[in-house]
Amino acid sequence: MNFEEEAKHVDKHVKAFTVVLILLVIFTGITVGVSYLKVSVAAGITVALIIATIKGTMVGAIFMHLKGEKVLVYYILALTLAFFIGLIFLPVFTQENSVQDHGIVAQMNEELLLQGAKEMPGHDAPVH
Amino acid sequence: MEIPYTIEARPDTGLNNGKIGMWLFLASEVMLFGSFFASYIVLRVGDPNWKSGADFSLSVPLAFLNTLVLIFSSWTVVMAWASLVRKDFGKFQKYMMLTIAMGGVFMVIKAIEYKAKFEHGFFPSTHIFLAIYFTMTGLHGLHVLSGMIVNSYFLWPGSKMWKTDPQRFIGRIELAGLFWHLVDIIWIFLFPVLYLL
Repeated sequence: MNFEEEAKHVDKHVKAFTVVLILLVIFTGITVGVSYLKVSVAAGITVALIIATIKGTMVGAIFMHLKGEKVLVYYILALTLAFFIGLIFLPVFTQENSVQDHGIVAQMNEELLLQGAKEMPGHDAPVH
Repeated sequence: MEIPYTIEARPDTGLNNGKIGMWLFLASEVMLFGSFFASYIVLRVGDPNWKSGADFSLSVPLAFLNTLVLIFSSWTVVMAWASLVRKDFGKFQKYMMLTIAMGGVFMVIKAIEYKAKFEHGFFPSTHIFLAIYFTMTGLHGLHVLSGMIVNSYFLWPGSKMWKTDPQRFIGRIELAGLFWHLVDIIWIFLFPVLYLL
């Protein structure tokens, strides 16, 4: 769409921008509200990420003009999404068992906390 | 010789050079932050006694305020673009100034948070959660700062282009806005992951 055509449609866009702003504020409030509910960790993570995805989609579709964008942009984003999903899930599927079984991260955290407690004698060891 | 398709769209893709370039750059930014999110998942899953934001007194109210600040700045930057399309340069200046100001507010709130952490003896070396917290929010903060610098350029010295080549200037503002929206989207995911979960 060239700029002359954009100028004709921009009033409709401006209304959509304001509606999305209001929805984003509401969803942010919902995100914080849900975090205070007593639900399982898995449920909390799922709900939080669903709400974040909805918010991100609204920003992308309306603010970034992805709705009605050219097909090449969708191809770029589809490829990015495929690699992103791989990036998120491959380490979990391939490393998670060995990392957890060996307790590497847990051990590192314990050592860091003990070291922190030694270096700051006036402070209690953070967080128990 | 002028570079073709800086303003008009290519006939094959329907996009100009800047838009293709910016979307490719944003794709790389998604992978950059995606790698940190993936690292966070692996580290968190690797420690059954993982300590999260609540254990280190991360301030949910301040982060909530920062989220609202960035959401509002996303609105102001797109309104800045819309003002230019409506050929209202005065409104563009107001909205862009607000966008930069909101970025400044975000950075100030972040600085307050960091200062509070350091005063409590919480440093990146204290715990792996804090290492990833400072890395991700620090990198995000650098992106906010970069966006502020670019937007400031377009508000002041760069705005001369509005008089010489208005359509090209509108394109520039749209692309700068795309970067700013991505910075907002990244924070939309960072906030719940680091502060609420």
